Amino acid sequence: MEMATALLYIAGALMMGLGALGAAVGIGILGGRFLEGAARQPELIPMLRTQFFIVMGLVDAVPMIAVGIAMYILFAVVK
Amino acid sequence: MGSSLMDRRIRRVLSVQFVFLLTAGLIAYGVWGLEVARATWFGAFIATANTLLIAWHMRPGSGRSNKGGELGAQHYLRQFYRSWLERYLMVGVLLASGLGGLKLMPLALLAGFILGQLIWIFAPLTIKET
Repeated sequence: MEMATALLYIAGALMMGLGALGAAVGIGILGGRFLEGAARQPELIPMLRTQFFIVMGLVDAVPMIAVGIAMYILFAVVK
Repeated sequence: MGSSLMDRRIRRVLSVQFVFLLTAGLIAYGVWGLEVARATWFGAFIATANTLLIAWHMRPGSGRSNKGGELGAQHYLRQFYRSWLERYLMVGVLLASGLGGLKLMPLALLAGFILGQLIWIFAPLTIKET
């Protein structure tokens, strides 16, 4: 395997891995805050649940794009 | 008030993504032809499917196991993580099938997907909180 191809595979793996790491940290913080809020005011759980999903979509958007670019590198650039 | 506001946000994202899904394919077809249009449409479809999965999980009563009973925060947290994992896997599988299986044009597919995902960042900002 050529050096350039190997580096492209590493770049794709890093993009996917770091993207997943960022999303995992974000969702973890979000989940912790949700539990705090639910423990303080259980009556607000339905509202917190809706907000959680919306923020989760926002947090996820950029890592998903990173996954897309990584797929592009793995399937299209590396031949 | 908060709940209805959030519902409006997901509705806004979904409607903008549907409009993008329809127009992006048409524009790509008009400018670059059928191959690019198919790839762009598939990319935008992946982003829309991602949002649809969130909306499906957000529907009232989603994931309820004890009928009519109050569910605890732990239950909802499990549901959140499961939905995140499902979406991540779904996007990965759809992208891989589009690029690997269907052999669609990668740049066009990626452009459709990225623009569809960026709607998530910009569409909720356009709603005024009342």
